Amino acid sequence: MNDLVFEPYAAEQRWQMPAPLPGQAWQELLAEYLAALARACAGAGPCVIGHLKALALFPGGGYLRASAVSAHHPPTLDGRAPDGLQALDLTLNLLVYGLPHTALERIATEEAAKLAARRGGQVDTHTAAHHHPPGEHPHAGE
Amino acid sequence: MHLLLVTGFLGSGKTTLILALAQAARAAGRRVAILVNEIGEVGIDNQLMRQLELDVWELTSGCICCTLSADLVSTLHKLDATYGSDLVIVEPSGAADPANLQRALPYYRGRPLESIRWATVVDPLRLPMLLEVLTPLITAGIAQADVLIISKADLATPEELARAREAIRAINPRAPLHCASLRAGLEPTLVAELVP
Repeated sequence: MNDLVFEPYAAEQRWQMPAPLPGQAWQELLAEYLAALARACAGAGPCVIGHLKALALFPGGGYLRASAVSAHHPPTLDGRAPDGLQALDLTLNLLVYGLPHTALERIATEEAAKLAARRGGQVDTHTAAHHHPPGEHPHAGE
Repeated sequence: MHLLLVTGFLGSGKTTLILALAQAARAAGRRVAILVNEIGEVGIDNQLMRQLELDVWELTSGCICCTLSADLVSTLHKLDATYGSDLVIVEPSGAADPANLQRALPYYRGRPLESIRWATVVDPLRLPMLLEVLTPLITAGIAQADVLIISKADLATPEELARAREAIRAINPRAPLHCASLRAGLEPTLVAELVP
Protein backbone atom coordinates (compact mmCIF):
# COMPACT_ATOMS: atom_id res chain seq x y z
CA MET A 1 0.00 0.00 0.00
CA ASN A 2 3.03 2.27 0.15
CA ASP A 3 2.35 3.85 -3.20
CA LEU A 4 -1.45 4.06 -3.07
CA VAL A 5 -3.01 7.44 -2.35
CA PHE A 6 -6.30 7.59 -0.50
CA GLU A 7 -8.52 10.49 -1.57
CA PRO A 8 -12.17 9.98 -0.60
CA TYR A 9 -14.65 11.26 -3.15
CA ALA A 10 -18.18 12.37 -2.28
CA ALA A 11 -21.00 13.80 -4.35
CA GLU A 12 -24.66 14.61 -4.35
CA GLN A 13 -26.49 13.38 -7.44
CA ARG A 14 -29.96 13.93 -8.84
CA TRP A 15 -31.09 11.15 -11.15
CA GLN A 16 -33.92 12.33 -13.37
CA MET A 17 -35.93 9.93 -15.53
CA PRO A 18 -38.40 10.74 -18.33
CA ALA A 19 -41.24 9.03 -16.47
CA PRO A 20 -41.91 7.76 -12.93
CA LEU A 21 -40.33 4.37 -12.15
CA PRO A 22 -41.41 1.54 -9.86
CA GLY A 23 -39.31 1.27 -6.70
CA GLN A 24 -37.86 -2.01 -7.92
CA ALA A 25 -36.51 -0.31 -11.04
CA TRP A 26 -34.71 2.32 -8.94
CA GLN A 27 -33.25 -0.45 -6.80
CA GLU A 28 -31.97 -2.30 -9.86
CA LEU A 29 -30.59 0.93 -11.30
CA LEU A 30 -28.69 1.71 -8.11
CA ALA A 31 -27.27 -1.81 -7.90
CA GLU A 32 -26.23 -1.54 -11.54
CA TYR A 33 -24.58 1.81 -10.86
CA LEU A 34 -22.57 0.54 -7.90
CA ALA A 35 -21.46 -2.51 -9.87
CA ALA A 36 -20.42 -0.26 -12.77
CA LEU A 37 -18.49 1.98 -10.37
CA ALA A 38 -16.65 -1.01 -8.91
CA ARG A 39 -15.73 -2.29 -12.37
CA ALA A 40 -14.61 1.13 -13.54
CA CYS A 41 -12.46 1.64 -10.43
CA ALA A 42 -10.86 -1.77 -10.83
CA GLY A 43 -10.19 -1.01 -14.49
CA ALA A 44 -8.74 2.44 -13.88
CA GLY A 45 -5.45 1.29 -12.41
CA PRO A 46 -3.93 -0.51 -9.43
CA CYS A 47 -6.28 0.13 -6.54
CA VAL A 48 -8.01 -1.37 -3.55
CA ILE A 49 -11.70 -0.59 -3.27
CA GLY A 50 -12.42 0.28 0.33
CA HIS A 51 -16.11 1.05 0.13
CA LEU A 52 -18.43 2.44 -2.52
CA LYS A 53 -21.72 3.50 -0.97
CA ALA A 54 -24.80 5.44 -1.89
CA LEU A 55 -27.86 6.50 0.06
CA ALA A 56 -31.24 7.92 -0.87
CA LEU A 57 -33.64 9.08 1.83
CA PHE A 58 -37.41 9.29 1.46
CA PRO A 59 -40.12 11.05 3.44
CA GLY A 60 -41.53 9.03 6.32
CA GLY A 61 -38.29 7.32 7.29
CA GLY A 62 -37.69 5.27 4.15
CA TYR A 63 -34.31 4.80 2.61
CA LEU A 64 -32.38 2.94 -0.05
CA ARG A 65 -28.74 2.15 0.64
CA ALA A 66 -26.33 0.47 -1.74
CA SER A 67 -22.86 -0.76 -0.99
CA ALA A 68 -20.05 -2.35 -2.99
CA VAL A 69 -16.62 -3.47 -1.85
CA SER A 70 -15.17 -5.08 -4.95
CA ALA A 71 -15.72 -5.66 -8.63
CA HIS A 72 -15.97 -9.39 -7.98
CA HIS A 73 -18.95 -9.35 -5.63
CA PRO A 74 -22.37 -7.92 -6.41
CA PRO A 75 -23.44 -4.78 -4.54
CA THR A 76 -25.75 -5.18 -1.57
CA LEU A 77 -28.94 -3.17 -1.11
CA ASP A 78 -30.84 -2.27 2.03
CA GLY A 79 -34.18 -0.56 2.26
CA ARG A 80 -36.39 0.16 -0.73
CA ALA A 81 -37.45 3.00 -2.97
CA PRO A 82 -41.10 3.93 -3.12
CA ASP A 83 -42.99 3.42 -6.38
CA GLY A 84 -43.62 6.28 -8.73
CA LEU A 85 -40.52 8.43 -8.28
CA GLN A 86 -39.33 10.27 -11.37
CA ALA A 87 -36.22 11.68 -9.67
CA LEU A 88 -33.92 10.30 -7.02
CA ASP A 89 -31.50 12.31 -4.86
CA LEU A 90 -28.44 10.31 -3.96
CA THR A 91 -25.46 10.85 -1.70
CA LEU A 92 -22.40 9.03 -2.97
CA ASN A 93 -19.13 8.14 -1.22
CA LEU A 94 -16.25 6.46 -3.02
CA LEU A 95 -13.45 5.32 -0.71
CA VAL A 96 -10.75 3.82 -2.88
CA TYR A 97 -7.04 3.37 -2.25
CA GLY A 98 -4.94 4.09 -5.31
CA LEU A 99 -7.14 6.32 -7.47
CA PRO A 100 -6.89 10.10 -7.33
CA HIS A 101 -9.92 12.26 -6.62
CA THR A 102 -10.05 13.42 -10.22
CA ALA A 103 -10.30 9.83 -11.48
CA LEU A 104 -13.08 9.01 -9.01
CA GLU A 105 -14.98 12.13 -10.02
CA ARG A 106 -14.72 11.18 -13.69
CA ILE A 107 -15.84 7.59 -12.99
CA ALA A 108 -18.80 8.65 -10.85
CA THR A 109 -19.99 11.16 -13.43
CA GLU A 110 -19.46 9.08 -16.56
CA GLU A 111 -20.95 5.85 -15.24
CA ALA A 112 -24.04 7.66 -13.96
CA ALA A 113 -24.50 9.48 -17.25
CA LYS A 114 -24.18 6.24 -19.25
CA LEU A 115 -26.69 4.35 -17.15
CA ALA A 116 -29.22 7.16 -17.07
CA ALA A 117 -28.90 7.83 -20.82
CA ARG A 118 -29.80 4.20 -21.58
CA ARG A 119 -33.14 4.89 -19.93
CA GLY A 120 -33.58 8.32 -21.47
CA GLY A 121 -32.68 10.08 -18.23
CA GLN A 122 -29.89 12.27 -16.95
CA VAL A 123 -27.87 12.81 -13.79
CA ASP A 124 -26.62 16.05 -12.26
CA THR A 125 -23.56 15.45 -10.11
CA HIS A 126 -22.31 17.96 -7.56
CA THR A 127 -18.94 16.98 -6.17
CA ALA A 128 -18.46 17.80 -2.50
CA ALA A 129 -15.61 20.11 -1.58
CA HIS A 130 -12.34 18.23 -1.58
CA HIS A 131 -10.19 19.19 1.39
CA HIS A 132 -7.03 17.30 0.62
CA PRO A 133 -4.94 18.36 -2.37
CA PRO A 134 -4.00 15.38 -4.56
CA GLY A 135 -1.26 13.31 -2.97
CA GLU A 136 -1.34 15.21 0.29
CA HIS A 137 -3.94 13.25 2.21
CA PRO A 138 -2.42 12.03 5.47
CA HIS A 139 -3.29 8.45 4.58
CA ALA A 140 -1.23 8.55 1.41
CA GLY A 141 1.53 6.02 1.87
CA GLU A 142 -0.36 4.07 4.52
CA MET B 1 -22.35 4.65 30.91
CA HIS B 2 -21.06 1.74 28.82
CA LEU B 3 -18.81 2.29 25.82
CA LEU B 4 -18.79 0.03 22.79
CA LEU B 5 -16.27 0.67 20.01
CA VAL B 6 -17.06 -1.03 16.71
CA THR B 7 -14.07 -1.26 14.42
CA GLY B 8 -13.41 -2.94 11.10
CA PHE B 9 -12.21 -2.05 7.64
CA LEU B 10 -14.26 0.03 5.21
CA GLY B 11 -17.30 -1.89 4.03
CA SER B 12 -16.98 -4.67 6.58
CA GLY B 13 -20.48 -4.16 8.00
CA LYS B 14 -19.93 -1.87 10.99
CA THR B 15 -22.89 0.38 10.26
CA THR B 16 -25.23 -2.55 9.73
CA LEU B 17 -24.14 -4.04 13.05
CA ILE B 18 -24.53 -0.73 14.87
CA LEU B 19 -28.00 -0.11 13.46
CA ALA B 20 -29.17 -3.49 14.67
CA LEU B 21 -27.50 -3.15 18.07
CA ALA B 22 -28.84 0.35 18.66
CA GLN B 23 -32.34 -0.71 17.77
CA ALA B 24 -32.10 -3.77 20.04
CA ALA B 25 -30.74 -1.68 22.92
CA ARG B 26 -33.40 0.96 22.46
CA ALA B 27 -36.11 -1.68 22.39
CA ALA B 28 -34.75 -2.90 25.73
CA GLY B 29 -35.22 0.59 27.17
CA ARG B 30 -31.60 1.77 26.95
CA ARG B 31 -30.67 5.31 26.06
CA VAL B 32 -28.21 4.94 23.20
CA ALA B 33 -25.90 7.51 21.67
CA ILE B 34 -23.95 6.78 18.50
CA LEU B 35 -20.75 8.60 17.62
CA VAL B 36 -19.89 8.30 13.95
CA ASN B 37 -16.50 9.14 12.53
CA GLU B 38 -17.05 8.81 8.83
CA ILE B 39 -14.33 9.38 6.32
CA GLY B 40 -15.29 11.28 3.20
CA GLU B 41 -16.55 14.78 2.66
CA VAL B 42 -20.23 13.88 3.02
CA GLY B 43 -21.41 11.46 5.70
CA ILE B 44 -23.77 8.71 4.65
CA ASP B 45 -23.97 6.54 7.77
CA ASN B 46 -25.00 9.40 10.03
CA GLN B 47 -27.74 10.44 7.57
CA LEU B 48 -29.13 6.92 7.61
CA MET B 49 -29.00 6.66 11.39
CA ARG B 50 -30.85 9.96 11.76
CA GLN B 51 -33.43 8.81 9.23
CA LEU B 52 -34.00 5.81 11.52
CA GLU B 53 -34.45 8.23 14.45
CA LEU B 54 -31.32 7.18 16.27
CA ASP B 55 -29.37 9.73 18.30
CA VAL B 56 -26.18 10.39 16.37
CA TRP B 57 -23.20 12.65 16.91
CA GLU B 58 -20.74 13.16 14.09
CA LEU B 59 -17.05 13.42 14.84
CA THR B 60 -15.90 15.72 12.11
CA SER B 61 -13.34 18.32 13.07
CA GLY B 62 -10.87 18.90 10.28
CA CYS B 63 -9.58 15.72 8.71
CA ILE B 64 -11.65 13.25 10.66
CA CYS B 65 -9.40 10.28 10.19
CA CYS B 66 -6.62 12.05 12.06
CA THR B 67 -8.30 14.26 14.66
CA LEU B 68 -10.77 11.68 15.88
CA SER B 69 -9.12 11.25 19.26
CA ALA B 70 -9.64 14.76 20.63
CA ASP B 71 -13.12 14.95 19.14
CA LEU B 72 -14.06 11.64 20.73
CA VAL B 73 -13.07 12.72 24.22
CA SER B 74 -14.78 16.11 24.01
CA THR B 75 -17.95 14.51 22.63
CA LEU B 76 -17.96 11.92 25.42
CA HIS B 77 -17.72 14.78 27.92
CA LYS B 78 -20.67 16.53 26.27
CA LEU B 79 -22.72 13.34 26.30
CA ASP B 80 -21.89 12.70 29.92
CA ALA B 81 -22.97 16.22 30.89
CA THR B 82 -26.09 16.58 28.78
CA TYR B 83 -27.46 13.34 27.39
CA GLY B 84 -27.32 10.68 30.10
CA SER B 85 -26.59 7.72 27.85
CA ASP B 86 -26.69 4.16 29.09
CA LEU B 87 -24.66 3.06 26.08
CA VAL B 88 -22.39 4.96 23.73
CA ILE B 89 -21.52 3.20 20.48
CA VAL B 90 -18.55 4.58 18.58
CA GLU B 91 -18.03 3.86 14.90
CA PRO B 92 -14.55 4.97 13.88
CA SER B 93 -13.78 5.30 10.22
CA GLY B 94 -12.78 2.01 8.67
CA ALA B 95 -9.58 3.65 7.46
CA ALA B 96 -8.47 4.93 10.86
CA ASP B 97 -6.05 3.20 13.18
CA PRO B 98 -7.95 2.03 16.28
CA ALA B 99 -4.81 2.64 18.33
CA ASN B 100 -5.64 6.38 18.19
CA LEU B 101 -8.81 5.66 20.13
CA GLN B 102 -6.99 3.60 22.72
CA ARG B 103 -4.59 6.45 23.31
CA ALA B 104 -7.43 8.95 23.65
CA LEU B 105 -9.66 7.20 26.16
CA PRO B 106 -7.48 7.83 29.24
CA TYR B 107 -8.15 11.56 28.73
CA TYR B 108 -11.85 11.09 29.36
CA ARG B 109 -12.62 12.60 32.78
CA GLY B 110 -16.41 12.30 33.01
CA ARG B 111 -18.60 9.81 34.82
CA PRO B 112 -16.62 6.58 35.13
CA LEU B 113 -17.27 4.19 32.26
CA GLU B 114 -18.87 0.99 33.50
CA SER B 115 -17.37 -0.99 30.65
CA ILE B 116 -15.35 -0.54 27.49
CA ARG B 117 -15.83 -3.21 24.82
CA TRP B 118 -14.17 -3.51 21.43
CA ALA B 119 -16.04 -5.31 18.69
CA THR B 120 -14.29 -5.85 15.38
CA VAL B 121 -16.20 -6.72 12.23
CA VAL B 122 -14.35 -8.76 9.61
CA ASP B 123 -15.38 -9.16 5.97
CA PRO B 124 -14.57 -12.79 5.03
CA LEU B 125 -14.80 -12.00 1.31
CA ARG B 126 -11.80 -9.67 1.40
CA LEU B 127 -9.84 -10.71 4.48
CA PRO B 128 -7.00 -12.54 2.67
CA MET B 129 -6.45 -9.61 0.30
CA LEU B 130 -6.67 -7.00 3.06
CA LEU B 131 -4.28 -8.91 5.30
CA GLU B 132 -1.84 -8.82 2.42
CA VAL B 133 -2.06 -5.14 1.53
CA LEU B 134 -3.11 -3.48 4.82
CA THR B 135 -1.48 -5.81 7.30
CA PRO B 136 -0.93 -3.48 10.30
CA LEU B 137 -4.41 -1.90 10.14
CA ILE B 138 -6.31 -5.16 9.77
CA THR B 139 -4.19 -7.10 12.25
CA ALA B 140 -4.49 -4.38 14.90
CA GLY B 141 -8.26 -4.33 14.65
CA ILE B 142 -8.51 -8.09 15.11
CA ALA B 143 -5.88 -8.31 17.83
CA GLN B 144 -7.47 -5.75 20.13
CA ALA B 145 -11.06 -7.05 19.89
CA ASP B 146 -13.05 -8.29 22.87
CA VAL B 147 -15.62 -9.68 20.45
CA LEU B 148 -15.05 -10.63 16.82
CA ILE B 149 -17.76 -10.82 14.19
CA ILE B 150 -17.34 -12.38 10.78
CA SER B 151 -19.97 -10.60 8.69
CA LYS B 152 -21.59 -11.47 5.35
CA ALA B 153 -21.98 -15.13 6.26
CA ASP B 154 -24.77 -15.29 3.69
CA LEU B 155 -22.48 -14.09 0.91
CA ALA B 156 -19.31 -16.03 1.72
CA THR B 157 -18.62 -19.62 0.75
CA PRO B 158 -17.93 -22.20 3.48
CA GLU B 159 -14.29 -22.15 2.39
CA GLU B 160 -14.08 -18.35 2.72
CA LEU B 161 -15.63 -18.54 6.18
CA ALA B 162 -13.21 -21.28 7.26
CA ARG B 163 -10.22 -19.30 5.96
CA ALA B 164 -11.42 -16.20 7.77
CA ARG B 165 -11.84 -18.12 11.05
CA GLU B 166 -8.36 -19.57 10.74
CA ALA B 167 -6.72 -16.22 9.95
CA ILE B 168 -8.57 -14.48 12.78
CA ARG B 169 -7.73 -17.16 15.32
CA ALA B 170 -4.05 -16.91 14.38
CA ILE B 171 -4.15 -13.24 15.40
CA ASN B 172 -6.62 -13.33 18.28
CA PRO B 173 -7.24 -16.77 19.78
CA ARG B 174 -9.13 -15.59 22.87
CA ALA B 175 -12.05 -13.30 21.88
CA PRO B 176 -15.48 -14.84 21.28
CA LEU B 177 -15.95 -15.23 17.54
CA HIS B 178 -19.36 -14.91 15.91
CA CYS B 179 -20.33 -15.58 12.34
CA ALA B 180 -23.33 -13.63 11.17
CA SER B 181 -25.36 -12.31 8.31
CA LEU B 182 -25.82 -8.88 9.83
CA ARG B 183 -28.50 -7.79 7.38
CA ALA B 184 -30.67 -10.71 8.48
CA GLY B 185 -30.59 -9.63 12.13
CA LEU B 186 -28.51 -10.42 15.20
CA GLU B 187 -28.37 -13.54 17.32
CA PRO B 188 -29.44 -12.80 20.90
CA THR B 189 -26.10 -14.14 22.17
CA LEU B 190 -24.23 -11.54 20.13
CA VAL B 191 -26.49 -8.74 21.35
CA ALA B 192 -25.99 -9.90 24.93
CA GLU B 193 -22.21 -9.79 24.53
CA LEU B 194 -22.22 -6.30 23.10
CA VAL B 195 -25.05 -4.56 24.94
CA PRO B 196 -24.60 -4.73 28.73
